[in-house]
Amino acid sequence: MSQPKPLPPPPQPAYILRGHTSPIHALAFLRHNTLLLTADANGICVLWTLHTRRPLAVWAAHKSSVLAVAEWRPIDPASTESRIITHGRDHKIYVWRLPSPADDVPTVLPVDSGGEVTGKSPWLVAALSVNALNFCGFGFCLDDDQNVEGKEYQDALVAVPAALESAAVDIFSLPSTHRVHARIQSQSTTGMAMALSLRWVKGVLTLIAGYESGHVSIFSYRSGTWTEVHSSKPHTQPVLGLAAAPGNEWFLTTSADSLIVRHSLGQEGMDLVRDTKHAGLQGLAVRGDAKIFAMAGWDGKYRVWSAGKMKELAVLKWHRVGCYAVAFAEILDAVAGSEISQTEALVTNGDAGEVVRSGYEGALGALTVEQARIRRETSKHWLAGGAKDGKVSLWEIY
Amino acid sequence: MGSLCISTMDGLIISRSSSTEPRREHSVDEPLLTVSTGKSLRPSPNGVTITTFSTSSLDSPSGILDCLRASPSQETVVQCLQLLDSTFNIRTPSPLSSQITKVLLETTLPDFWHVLDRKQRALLARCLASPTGLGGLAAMLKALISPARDKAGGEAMGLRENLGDLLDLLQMVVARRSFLHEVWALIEKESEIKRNIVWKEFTALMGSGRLLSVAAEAEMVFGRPPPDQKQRWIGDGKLYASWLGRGVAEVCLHADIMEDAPWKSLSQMLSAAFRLGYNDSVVEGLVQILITPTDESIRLQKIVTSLPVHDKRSYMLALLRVISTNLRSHIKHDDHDAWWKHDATRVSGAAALLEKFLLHDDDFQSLIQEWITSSTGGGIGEPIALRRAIMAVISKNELAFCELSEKLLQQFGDQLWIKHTPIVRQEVNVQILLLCAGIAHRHAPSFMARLARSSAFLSGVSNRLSASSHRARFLGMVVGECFSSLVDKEETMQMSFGTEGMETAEGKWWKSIPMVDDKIGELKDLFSTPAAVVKKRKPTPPASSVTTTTAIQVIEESSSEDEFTPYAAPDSDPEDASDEDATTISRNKPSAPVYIRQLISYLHATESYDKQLLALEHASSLIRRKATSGKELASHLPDLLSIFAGIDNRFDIPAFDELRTAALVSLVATSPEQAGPWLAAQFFTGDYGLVQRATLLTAIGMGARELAGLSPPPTISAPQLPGKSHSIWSAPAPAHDLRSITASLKSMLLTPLAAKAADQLTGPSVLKIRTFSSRLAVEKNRAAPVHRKILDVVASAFFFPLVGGWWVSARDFGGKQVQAQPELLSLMVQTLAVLIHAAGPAAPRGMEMARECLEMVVGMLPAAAGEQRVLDALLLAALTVLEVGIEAADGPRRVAEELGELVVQVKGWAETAVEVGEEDTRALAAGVLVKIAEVEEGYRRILMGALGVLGMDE
Repeated sequence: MSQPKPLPPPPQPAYILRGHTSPIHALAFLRHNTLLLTADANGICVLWTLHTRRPLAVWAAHKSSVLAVAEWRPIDPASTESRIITHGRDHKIYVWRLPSPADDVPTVLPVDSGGEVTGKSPWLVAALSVNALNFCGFGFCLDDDQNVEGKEYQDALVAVPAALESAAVDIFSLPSTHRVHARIQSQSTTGMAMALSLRWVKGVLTLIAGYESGHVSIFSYRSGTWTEVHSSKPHTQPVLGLAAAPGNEWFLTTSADSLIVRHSLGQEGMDLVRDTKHAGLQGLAVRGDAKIFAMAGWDGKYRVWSAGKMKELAVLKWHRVGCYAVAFAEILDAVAGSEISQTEALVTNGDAGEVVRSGYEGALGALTVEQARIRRETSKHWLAGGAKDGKVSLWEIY
Repeated sequence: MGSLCISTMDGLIISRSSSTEPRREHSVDEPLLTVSTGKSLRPSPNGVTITTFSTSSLDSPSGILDCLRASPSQETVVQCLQLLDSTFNIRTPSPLSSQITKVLLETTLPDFWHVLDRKQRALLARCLASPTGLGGLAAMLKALISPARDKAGGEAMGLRENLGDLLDLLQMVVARRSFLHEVWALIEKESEIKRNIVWKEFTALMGSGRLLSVAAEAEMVFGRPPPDQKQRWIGDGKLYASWLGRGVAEVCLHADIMEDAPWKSLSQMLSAAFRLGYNDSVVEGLVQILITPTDESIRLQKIVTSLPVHDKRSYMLALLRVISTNLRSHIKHDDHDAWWKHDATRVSGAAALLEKFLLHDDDFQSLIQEWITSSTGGGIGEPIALRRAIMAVISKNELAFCELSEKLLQQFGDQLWIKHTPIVRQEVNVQILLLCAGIAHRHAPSFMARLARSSAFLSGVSNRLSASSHRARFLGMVVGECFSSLVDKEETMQMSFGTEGMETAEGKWWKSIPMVDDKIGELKDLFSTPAAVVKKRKPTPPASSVTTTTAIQVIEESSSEDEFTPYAAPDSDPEDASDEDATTISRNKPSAPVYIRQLISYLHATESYDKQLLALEHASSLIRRKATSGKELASHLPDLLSIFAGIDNRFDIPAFDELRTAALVSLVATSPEQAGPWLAAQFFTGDYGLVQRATLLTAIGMGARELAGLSPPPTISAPQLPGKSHSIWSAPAPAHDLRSITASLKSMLLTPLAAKAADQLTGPSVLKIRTFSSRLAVEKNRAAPVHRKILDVVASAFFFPLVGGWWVSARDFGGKQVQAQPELLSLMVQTLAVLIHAAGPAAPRGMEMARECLEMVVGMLPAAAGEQRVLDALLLAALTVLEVGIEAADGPRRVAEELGELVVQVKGWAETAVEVGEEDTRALAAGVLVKIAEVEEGYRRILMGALGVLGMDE
């Protein structure tokens, strides 16, 4: 075997988005990577245009720290609309319509306004009062209701800790805000639920929950009842991060200890435990192709690992304080051009105050400089991370 | 009128000091009142009746007095104070004003001080800003002190509270910059007789220390606050003196330059201020205000010329010290000839300042000449820049200059002077002489020629060459070569000794002194910063940082299957300790310092335990690593030294002392030329505690031993076995403090002697198989040790700075200096012994060190008789000197010849110590005697000769 090739130098961030004045607690790429949503400990959300790195909308979504954010996509992939779900510690889950320029949502960043954010918020679609006495973000999936005639959006299910007891989990339906399942609870003494994931595994609604005690449980909904299919206690500290592979083959958990655990779904059980030697792994995200995943560590570094061999690939060091959230951009290689160009249209003509829906020729024929730029930017393999210092770092990796 | 005022003040003082109950006196004073307002406003006995006066009754000072006495309300008091401050002048001495002052102090102060706000307090303070007010304050303090000290319980608490209020008030009264000026303006208006009397009284109060002593005593009784949070300086002599100096200067700034009266009065105040005992502070304060770039020195000149001669002397000495601190530069004089140019402007500025006094006043003229030639003068321990400035001034007066040069030359060649003057003083003399020669050469070549041909010069040089001290000879050669090079034009005619010492950097530096050409410049030059030495900055080599590989980083395996090439790990990614609790891990642990700058920043971070600990732990090894590469260490050396010398153990770090000492030792070991003299100087002049001073000495001693190869440098971060096994398997740690080193030194020196004695007891040598041959014979054949680094530096960097510092501080403090404490003194003598031992017999200037050391021992022995530790240390030093001296090539003879008389004197003391001392002392003394006997063995005659000389001397 030849000499091992010298390793590429440690990666450096491609860009730092400085907008928040308090720690970033959640972030997500939206609309096929054209937008980045970041939310901080003051409840303020900022929607960034990725290719200009400028804010598109800034609003105070919650009165207190935001726990989780997610995108609720419309059924029609060509639609330019989308919804944002945010979950705050002010006991609320809000569903917002993606702000359009006509909504007149301010774009002044908290750093420029001294931390105060006033002005209009985007349109609120639904609001749900929940228990947020813990730190558990909601688990989210779309309902498999086939009857979508005339609907723009499929109904969504969100899993949150139950109102009376944080160890149990309730599932609500959105936008109706009805509670569809109640008190899903583990057999063992687990303490509060800390991380939830709601998924359809082989057509079965499955809830994965990580607990304060370090327990991880899998519940399945079969024939009208919830059963705890599997429970284990891989962590010694509260579970902080939980992310499943897109194909539902496995899921990962991290906690305040230094372990990263891969659990199989299907034939349940733990299959791999690795010690990262760096305690406090809060954020966890798996990339769309399920090949790599990333963790945000309290030591101020993001760690990128390969999902197959569970090996460390890169340590992203830039922040000097603890990192709380991490997210991967979608891998867009296979996405149809029309979809992108629609969003392009939304973004490029945003300033003019109206949405131009005639961007098709842009995708088919010659691209304008800006369109080319958007395409280039959105097709990059981004990783975004948010830290305690209120800064969001963008990395281009693998 | 004037006498009336004084008597009132006296009366006030007497009545206060004789009474301890201020509140009962009101009625006693009542009859003095001359004005009655028609209202009978006698307060009820407990004084709670609060009366509001109508403004009409406050229209005269007497009305105010009445009102203040009658338990007024706070508003009334404030109103009164405002009136007193603005309308009625109670600051001019008069019977009424002293009565009002008294009421203010006795009634208003204790009643209202705590409720008055800052502005109102200042108002009260302004009302009292007069000689009368101050006198009253001082008297009141004095009266309160003894009851507050003697009484116990709640009453004392109350009195102490009172005392604190008074001190606060006093501070408030005087603390304004213009206080003295205002008082002077007040007094100046009076008639001359009255002015003189009042000013005299005021001077005695302020200057001669009456106020200071009372305030200091009061502070003592009140309980001094910790020094760093001190708000009041009124009881602190140094600060007080500096304030007084500034105050006098402030008055000077406003006084009329044409009139004589104010200057005379101000001189009185100044000369009183010199009685405080903090001359330096007074002069510093004075100079601070008056010597500014906008030249006000004419005023300074005016005030000091009217001083009496004795005070002129105090003034001049203090001024020289102040100037020399100003001239002290941290740049080490370089080897090149133009070393003096970098601070030439500042020297010329200093010369300009000195010129104002020295050339225009005969008293100063004679004082400075006396200072230059006196045994304690010449500015021992001060930088040469001071002498350059002085000589630049004196050269303007030709007559005085010639006189001085001749006197210096004569002193230079005087045999007795050479023999009995400390070397540091001789160096100073030679420096001035060389400066003289340079000046003479430039301005009066004929005079120079006459000097160089004079018998004083020729015999002086030859006396020097025959001196026993190497340094004295060296100085003689320097002067000889310099004079000759200035006078003799042809190179072949020039004197050249061609010895090794003359060609070293130091020799060249000495020989370049006559080239120094300083001018009298402008006063403002004194404030210029020294010409920056432009240095090319080399990029610091990137530090080899500790790279920890993360848990999983397998490269070989990943090549075939993994599509992702891992990136390299970032520069630092420390893993958590495996046994650490995940919840308590500190995330921003500082990493070990890798640059000196970083080390310094950690040391400055006094709030962070982690940083302090890391810095201390890594200091020693980091310094040693950096010593060999780049200029990083050299450029931060002064910072590092001062930090480590003064650092506090804020967090009770267990191994703090060891770590700090280790850091200092590493500094000494890596850069002895700079660190040695610095530590020695700080030991004597720095503001440190006993322990810190002891550490400085320890660092010198251990650094020297390390340089000598006697104790190995600590192994740098060698891997260790876990806890207990390490202590079992590792070698015992080498001794790391000076006491244990001296103990081992002692046993090392004494054991062979004891063995020899035991050997002789067992029978005649002939009968033994191997005789214990005479030490004299064995030692002679011993080869000189190989060259060690210590040989280059021991004398110049360690030994002589210590000895020189000792003489200077002994001169300055006359045996009362902190270094004369038995603990420090014994440690210092032990350090000297360790140094001599570390240098060993082959050290250049060894005999000279031996001589200086023995001189010190002989000088201290009489005083040390009662102090066990010091006596032991002195005997150990003598023993070491003798041991090392005898071991040197041709040792015993040289010891006998060159140190003869000292040896004889030591012998006398050792004989007494053997008889009466304790066990240890006797052993040491016996050792000394044995060593002396060894010398006597071969060279009794020479020694006896020395004794004869000594006998004749006495």
